[in-house]
Amino acid sequence: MSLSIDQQIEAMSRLWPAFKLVAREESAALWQGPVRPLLQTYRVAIAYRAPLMVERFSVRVVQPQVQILSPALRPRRGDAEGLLPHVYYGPDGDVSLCMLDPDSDEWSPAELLAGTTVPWVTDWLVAYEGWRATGEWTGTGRHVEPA
Amino acid sequence: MAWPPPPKDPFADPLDAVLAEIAINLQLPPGLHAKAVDRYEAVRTYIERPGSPLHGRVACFYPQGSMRIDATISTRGTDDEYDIDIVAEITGRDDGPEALLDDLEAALAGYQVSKIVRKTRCIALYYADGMHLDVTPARRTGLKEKEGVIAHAKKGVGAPQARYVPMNAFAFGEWYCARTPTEERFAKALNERLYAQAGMVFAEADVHDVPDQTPLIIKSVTTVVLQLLKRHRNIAYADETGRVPPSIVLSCHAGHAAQPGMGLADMVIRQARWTARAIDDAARQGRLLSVPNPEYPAELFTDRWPENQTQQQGYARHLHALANGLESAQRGNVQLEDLQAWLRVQFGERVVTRSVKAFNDRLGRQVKAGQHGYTRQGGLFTPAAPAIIGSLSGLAPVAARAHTNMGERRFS
Repeated sequence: MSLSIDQQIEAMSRLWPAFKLVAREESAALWQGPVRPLLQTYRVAIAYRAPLMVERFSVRVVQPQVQILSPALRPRRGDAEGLLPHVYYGPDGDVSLCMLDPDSDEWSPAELLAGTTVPWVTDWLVAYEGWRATGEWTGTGRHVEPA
Repeated sequence: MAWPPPPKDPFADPLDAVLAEIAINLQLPPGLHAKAVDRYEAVRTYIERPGSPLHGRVACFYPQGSMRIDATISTRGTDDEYDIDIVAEITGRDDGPEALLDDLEAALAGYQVSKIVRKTRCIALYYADGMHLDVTPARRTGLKEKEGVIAHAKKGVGAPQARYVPMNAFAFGEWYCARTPTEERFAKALNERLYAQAGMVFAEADVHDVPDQTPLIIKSVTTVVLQLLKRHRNIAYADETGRVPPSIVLSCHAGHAAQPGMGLADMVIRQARWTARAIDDAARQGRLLSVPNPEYPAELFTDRWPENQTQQQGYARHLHALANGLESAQRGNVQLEDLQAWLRVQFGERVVTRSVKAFNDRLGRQVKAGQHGYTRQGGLFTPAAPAIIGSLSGLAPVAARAHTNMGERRFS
C-alpha cells in the first residue's frame, strides 16, 4: 500500500531534519537539504508525488526524482561509464540520479523516502566521488542500454 | 540541533580512513621485520667470530631508532628501501672514535652483502633486496643502562674532528614505548588490513597475545602518525641532497605529543604543529631548534640539523602547510579526487594513488555487502567492525539496504 505524502513528509522531518520541505502541492512534495557522504557537503533536491490509492502506477514513473543542486557534478569525457555514471538525462539536459532498478522490488511507494532515497543518495555520491578519484565505480550498478 | 558524533573507529571518519590506508601502504611488509631480526643477529655472530677485531668485545647488540619503536617506513624518496639501525656496544680498549669505527669496519670486512659503506657514525650494510642495516658502534660510559657514547669520525680526516657523542638510544626507546601503549581497537583494525593486503590472516582477538607468525606491526596512533610525518618529510626533501630533519627529532616530539585515543588526522595535526611551533619559538628567539634526549639530556638529537634558520623555518612551513590542509579538509568541503591530488603532494603519488584506490574499493565492498550505516549528516559510516552498526545511537536510524544504481550512458 502506498504511503501518503503526509507520511513521507513526517518521516523526512523526523529522520533528516536538515532536509526542508520547500514546496507542497496536493500529493507532491519537494525537499532540499544537505548530505555529507565523505568530506564534501552536497545540496540535494528530492521531488516526489505519492500515487493515489486507486492509481495504477509504474515505479519507473513515480520513483523520486533526485538532483544534486551543488556543487555541480563533474562529468568526464571518454570514460567507459559515460559522462556521468548512473544518471538519467531530462529533456533539457538536467541530470537526475538513478538509484534503483524499477523492474525489481527494491523500492515501491510503500517505502519511506527517508529510509531509502536519502541514504541511497549518500551511497551514490560515495561511488561517484570514488569514480572521479580512481576511475572505478565501486557501487552497485547496471546500465540501461538502448535496445 | 546537535547530533551526537559517530563513535570513534579508525575507519569511521573518511579523512582518518584515507590516512590509515596511506599508513598501511608505508609499513614494512609482514615478514620483513623477522628478516631484519635474522639479519642483525647474523651480523652480530659475524663480527664476534674468532679472529674478528671485535671477538669477545660486543657487550650487547640492539635495535635503535625506528626499528626499536616500530616506526620503520620505506626510505626517503623510494618505496622499496628500508633502513634498520642497530647499536653494537663495544667493550675493551678505547683507542678513540676513529679506531672504534675502524674496528667495526674491519670486523665487517668480507660480510656477504651488496655493499658496505663506512659513514661518519656507522657502518652501513646494503642488501640486494633494498634493506640497509646501519651498525653504530657505541661505548658505555654511564651507570644508567646503556648510557654511553658513539663515535663521530670521518675516515682519514684526522683526530681533531673525531669525537665521541653522548647517546642513550636504549633509554629513549623505553621512554617512547612507555608513552605510546598499544591502542587495541586501532591496532587490531589496521593489522587486520595490513595482513589481509599481504594475503595473510590476522585474527587475534587480543592484541596482547599475538603469535610469532603474525606479530603486531601497527600499535598506536602516535607511531602511525610518526610514520606519516617521516614519509611527508621524505617527500618534501626527495630532491635535496643535504641533511634533512632527523627522524629522532620527530620521534621525540611524537613521544611528547602522544595522547592515546585521538583520531589519525587530529594526531597528524598535533604532531606537525608540535614540531613546527617548537621551531617557530626557537626562530623567534633567534636560536636553532634544540631537542635533547628526554632520558639523557647530554644527547642532543638536533646536533646535526638544523644548521641554520633557513633550514628549520623551511621545514616548519612544510609542517604548517600539512596541518592547515588537514584542518581545511576536516572543516571545509573537499571531494575525494581533490583530496587525493593534495595528498599526493604531501605523501607521494604512488602511495596515495594506491591508498585512495584501496579506500574506494573498501567502501564499495562494504556498501555492496550492506556493512555500512549513515551519520545524521548523511555521511557514509563504514567502520572496521561493521557488526557494531546496529547498536550505535549516534547514527541515523536508517538501515542499509541493497539497491541498484541504473541509468543511461551518454558520451557527449
